[in-house]
Amino acid sequence: MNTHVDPPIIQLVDVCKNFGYRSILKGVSFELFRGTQTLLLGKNGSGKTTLLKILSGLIHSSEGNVLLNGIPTEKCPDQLRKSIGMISHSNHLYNELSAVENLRFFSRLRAVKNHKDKINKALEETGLLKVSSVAVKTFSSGMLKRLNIAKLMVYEPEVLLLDEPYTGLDYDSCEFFNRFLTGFKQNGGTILMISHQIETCFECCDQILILKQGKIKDQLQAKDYSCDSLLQKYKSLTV
Amino acid sequence: MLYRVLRLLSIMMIGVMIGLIFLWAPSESSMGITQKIMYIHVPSIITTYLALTIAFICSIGYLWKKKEILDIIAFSAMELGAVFCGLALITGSIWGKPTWNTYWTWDARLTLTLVLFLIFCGYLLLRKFTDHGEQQARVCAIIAIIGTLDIPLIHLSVVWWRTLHQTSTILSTKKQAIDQPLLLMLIFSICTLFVFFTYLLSTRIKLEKQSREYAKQVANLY
Amino acid sequence: MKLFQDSITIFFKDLVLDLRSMENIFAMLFFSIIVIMVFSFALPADDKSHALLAPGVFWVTFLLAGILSLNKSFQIEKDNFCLESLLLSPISRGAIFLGKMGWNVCFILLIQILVIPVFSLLFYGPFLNNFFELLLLSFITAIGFSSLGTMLSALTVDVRFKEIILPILLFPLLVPLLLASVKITQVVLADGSLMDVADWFKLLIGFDIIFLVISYLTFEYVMEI
Repeated sequence: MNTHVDPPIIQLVDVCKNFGYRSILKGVSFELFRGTQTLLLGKNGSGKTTLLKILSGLIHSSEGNVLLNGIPTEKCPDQLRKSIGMISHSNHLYNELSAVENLRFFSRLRAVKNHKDKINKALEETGLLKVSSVAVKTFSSGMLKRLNIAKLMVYEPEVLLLDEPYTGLDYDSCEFFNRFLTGFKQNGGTILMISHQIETCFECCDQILILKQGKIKDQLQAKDYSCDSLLQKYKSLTV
Repeated sequence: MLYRVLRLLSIMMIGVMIGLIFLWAPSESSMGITQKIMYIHVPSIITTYLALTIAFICSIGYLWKKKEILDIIAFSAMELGAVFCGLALITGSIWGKPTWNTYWTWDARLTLTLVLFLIFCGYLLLRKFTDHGEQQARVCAIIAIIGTLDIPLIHLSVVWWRTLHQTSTILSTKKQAIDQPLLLMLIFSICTLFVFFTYLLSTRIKLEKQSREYAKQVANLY
Repeated sequence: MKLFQDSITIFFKDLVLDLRSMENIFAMLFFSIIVIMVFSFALPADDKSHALLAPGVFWVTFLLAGILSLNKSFQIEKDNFCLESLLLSPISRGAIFLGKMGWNVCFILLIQILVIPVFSLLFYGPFLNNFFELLLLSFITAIGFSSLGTMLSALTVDVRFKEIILPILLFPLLVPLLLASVKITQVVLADGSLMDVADWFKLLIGFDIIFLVISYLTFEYVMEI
């Protein structure tokens, strides 16, 4: 049940997506609110990554609407791109450029004010200041993830779309990432995360969406479940 | 109903056209019976331009409206355009041998017609190398639009290049560039091939729609 | 204003990437040398034949080497999914096109600065006497080549066998460009008057303008994933 006072920042209304002859998403509807973290669960091939790409504006839906602050995203693509930050499986960084060069490049495209100070601060907080001039191709997967987090810190989006963000992170990096997400949420940010590591991210979640065969099978409030009961529910719904 | 009418009309007109070519149309004074291939060659190239124009308009329409039917029409038109362009090149070569003593020469209009044929083939290959869907329709639409911009260059080449080719006789402003009976026969041949093209296009569109519908059902079985 | 700022940002990013690794520059240069060498073996070796064939051989080398630069143009974006990052940024698609196209023109020109003397050495000596004219002609040709090529390179980035399909799509469309360049080069080498080839210049510049505008306008549709 929707207990939020503020209007949703993102709404999906009957979103469908076809790739070729296959229907991947079949009438997906949900809302995301400011200051909340939503976990999107589903088996491989259920359409989770496709849903994230539609939300980010990378691909268009075949039918239905995606609304950002009540406005269809086709009518405000620049606003959508300014509002969205994304971390996915791949590192989205230029291998031959250094950490600081990568951040500078993307900051310039986003017209970030005072980007030099923000970049230095972000690199310091993610523990990458000492290697900021080193080419990114030498980084470990954990360091690449942290650099992507630094990227988000620099341009401060309103909505984070995370696709398996814990992949390749050690325990300390996971802790760091969770602290970052908590701080982001407390500042009014919205998070939508895909993760199979339910135990790692369950504590921070407010809402859980279960996607099955392109449809939202169930919408759960995290406070009504423990981690184990959620796992049981997930297994029963996705069998 | 429409297909049957078009099919019947095409068969009738082709029959009449063949009859008229060999029984009524006089042979041209210098080229003799070889000249009669003009009644296939010229309509083929004009039909090629018609196919390209249809594909161009539908491709622009697809990028604007994103309707699948426009992609189907564009694809069907390009496929048929390739066929008619190939036919034009082959009949042109057959005509060229006794006329210019060569099957092929790098004359400007011939060269650019070959280029047009390669553009058609490039489009069809691109279609083959992309998976069916919105991306395939979009990239092919762009290629059709870009390729169509080659048409003014073909036309321009007739003016700028020394050429072995006949200068335009139908559109020529010179009086009586072609005699009346030959002109009438040519116009009838063009109309016949237009009707035949319309029949082929409508059939191809119908087949493509059925094929996609079936593939959609199969893909969503699992 | 933001369009040009973003284009310049992308231009300099590509410049840094290519000049830092240098592998693309060396690859294109050595490929051009190999093509010139192959033509030298395949064609008659006398000076008269070389004089006649030099313009054609030069521009075919340009096209073949240019295709390599176009192939890598969006390949660096596909690596590590940087293209998604670019598309997630609040910039116009036209800025991506202009930035990439601008660097492709400069890159080709950089290679031509090296190839013209090499061509003169290996194939036809008098080429070097008209270095600046040929460089200017290369620049004008590169604009049309890069406009169309950058757009088609982006178009085919997700297509199977893209290394084959790009030249299949591109070369027929570049025929007017090739013919104009060869004709003008023939006149330049013969120290003829450029007024004799004014029509070819018009064709070349017209081609550049038409395909620069068309490619810019259609790039929005090319860059939808």
